[in-house]
Amino acid sequence: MRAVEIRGLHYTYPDGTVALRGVNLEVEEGESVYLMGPNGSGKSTLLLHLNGLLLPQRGEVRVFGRDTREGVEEIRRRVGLVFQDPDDQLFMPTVFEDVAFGPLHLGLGEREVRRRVREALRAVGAEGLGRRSPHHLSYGEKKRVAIATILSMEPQLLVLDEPTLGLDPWARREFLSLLERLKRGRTLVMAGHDLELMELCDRALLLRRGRVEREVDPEAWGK
Amino acid sequence: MKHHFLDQYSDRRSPLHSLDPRVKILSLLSFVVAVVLTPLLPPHRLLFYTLLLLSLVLLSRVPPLFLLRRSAVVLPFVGLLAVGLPFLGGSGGSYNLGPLHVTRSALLIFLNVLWKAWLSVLAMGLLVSTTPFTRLLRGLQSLGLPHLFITLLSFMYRYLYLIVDEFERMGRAREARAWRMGGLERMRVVGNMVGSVFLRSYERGERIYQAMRARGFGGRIRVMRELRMEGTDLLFLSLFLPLLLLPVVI
Repeated sequence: MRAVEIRGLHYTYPDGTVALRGVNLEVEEGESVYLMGPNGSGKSTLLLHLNGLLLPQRGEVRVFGRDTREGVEEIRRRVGLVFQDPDDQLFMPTVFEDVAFGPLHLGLGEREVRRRVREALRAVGAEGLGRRSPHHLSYGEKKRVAIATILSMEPQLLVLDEPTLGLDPWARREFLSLLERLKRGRTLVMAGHDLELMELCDRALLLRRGRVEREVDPEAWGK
Repeated sequence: MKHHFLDQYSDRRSPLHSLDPRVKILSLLSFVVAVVLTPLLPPHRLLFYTLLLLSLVLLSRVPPLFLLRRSAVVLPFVGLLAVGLPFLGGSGGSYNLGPLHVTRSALLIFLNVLWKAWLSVLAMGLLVSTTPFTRLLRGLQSLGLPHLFITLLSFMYRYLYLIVDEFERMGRAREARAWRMGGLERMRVVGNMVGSVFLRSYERGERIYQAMRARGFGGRIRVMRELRMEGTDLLFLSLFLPLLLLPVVI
């Protein structure tokens, strides 16, 4: 089964901005795909469609075989979306509560929630930050914890919007190796314009003016 | 940037810090009620409460001067009350303060309000300085405060600092470009800043809502019960509450 199948997707924002004009995209299970493109090319809008936060105005979006217009509950369970700005992603007063938010709203029991929080924080190397307030974290820590809040939901498809944006070179290097680890055993869709991040992926697509312009070879780009 | 104007010192360790927030909230409430219901004269009862509170302050390892400075916020309010005092009648002789006459009973009323308000605010400051804000919210929640109210407060706690940061950054950007600005012009610019901080917060609110929905939020925030009463909590309550009643009996 394909993880993502998008056909002829169009989306126009209420203010008249046309964001997507006929996107076609297929992502196989276990594959990692990088969406590249200039600002305003529709990357973020496309990502919001992957777990039904936006519904297609024209065309269709299927995630693990399900049409997002036929109920999003199951899809949100299986797709984890990490937003660009960690301050949007981390909205609870403490890190622990934030990482526990997803599992709790999946209806899991307390013991399982605690286990998942522990594992998610360990996976991103943020053990010991649980009691801190997100406001008191460094930007790199915030970014990592933001990923933990999604990992704790144990999604099959991980979607990341500009994961390395705004990180200093040291935090970025750590972050790249984290993503390298996360890639194993998961389907990964990322957006941004980080060439090193692109090289980490199996495939890369160039988005321009709301369309997938062409596929690029992650290895050969810029060489 | 780090701000700490809500619950500074709440991450220290002391017997008071480790108490269950519910115990502290209940103790605070009964303390305030006891203080308010106690007559001013003879003064030994209020004096007793004052000493009780001050010994808790020492026990808490929060710098006493910090708490005292903080409790001074009542002064303007009580001061406002003092303005009306000369016009209060009453008996018991009067004093001349310059051209104004103040009766003894009016003065007693003033002293009464000042003392009690100060004690209450000091006690509240002690609660906030010994309890991290999130635990305070958990405590209030499990004591039955409405869910919506708790949610609002917790979002405020999370984003207040962010908004302050944003405002400060804008202020700096303004200073960098226009350091000589007249009063009226300055006010106009600050007005614009408030407007744009509002717009940004509004947009952020929408993004946060999306992030919540993406993680399964469906209208009601679920949290874990994390509070557990322990032996020391019960011990504290069983000592503190009788102490509050002590001045009534003797």
